Amino acid sequence: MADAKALRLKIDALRSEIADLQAKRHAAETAPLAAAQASQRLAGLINQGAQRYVARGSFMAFASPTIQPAPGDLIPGTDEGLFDFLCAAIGDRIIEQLATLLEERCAEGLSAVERSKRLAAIDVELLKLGRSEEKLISDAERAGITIIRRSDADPAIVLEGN
Amino acid sequence: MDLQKLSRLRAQRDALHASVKHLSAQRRELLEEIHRFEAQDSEFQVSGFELSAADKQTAAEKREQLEAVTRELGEIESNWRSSAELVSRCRKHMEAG
Repeated sequence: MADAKALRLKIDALRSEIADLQAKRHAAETAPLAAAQASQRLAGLINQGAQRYVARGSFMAFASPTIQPAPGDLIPGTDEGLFDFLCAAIGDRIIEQLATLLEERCAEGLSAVERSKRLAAIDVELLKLGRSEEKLISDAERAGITIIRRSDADPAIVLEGN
Repeated sequence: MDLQKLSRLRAQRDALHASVKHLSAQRRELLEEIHRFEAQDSEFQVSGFELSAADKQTAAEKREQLEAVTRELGEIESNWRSSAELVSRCRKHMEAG
């Protein structure tokens, strides 16, 4: 009986470590991108908008010897048209201002490489702990002590043991 | 080995389910007995009588038993659900692998 209690305590301790690691994994998964990466995405979107505006070429109405340009030639009357105009006209300022904000708010951000490294390290540790937990549960079963497995236990780990 | 392990997990799940059914039946019986005592008590009160000391004692014991069974049922039911979920995930894992 004392053995059963000691075993349960060991499993509880392992489960608590597993829960901490799962929380860390979730935090790593959902942490924002690194500021540099976020700014890069922003710049990419702004540059696309600017390129669309130039490609559309409606501003060439101002160069026409026959057409009297209208506001729609400068700013196309759709949301995307307005966005593209702003990108072409003040894209650099938008990038600069938002990059400063992103820099402030993404202090804890992770680059894709950092994120995958962190997740891989956590997964290795989770695998190790999961295997230790399963070994304890299987040993307990052989000793006639039933310990219910976690519903979120890794099936690969549960099924690999005997 | 996977199949043996899965069938052991299924057996554990089924044993838990059987316990849930057994405890639920026990709980239902206790509830019925307690209701019978309560109905008898109300009837007696209308006629100016009351339950005997022995009956009152039995009713109190049944209530205590009911509390214990309800607690145990909650625990076993939660274990059964965990077990069933794990079996289902293991089965899917095997099918996928």
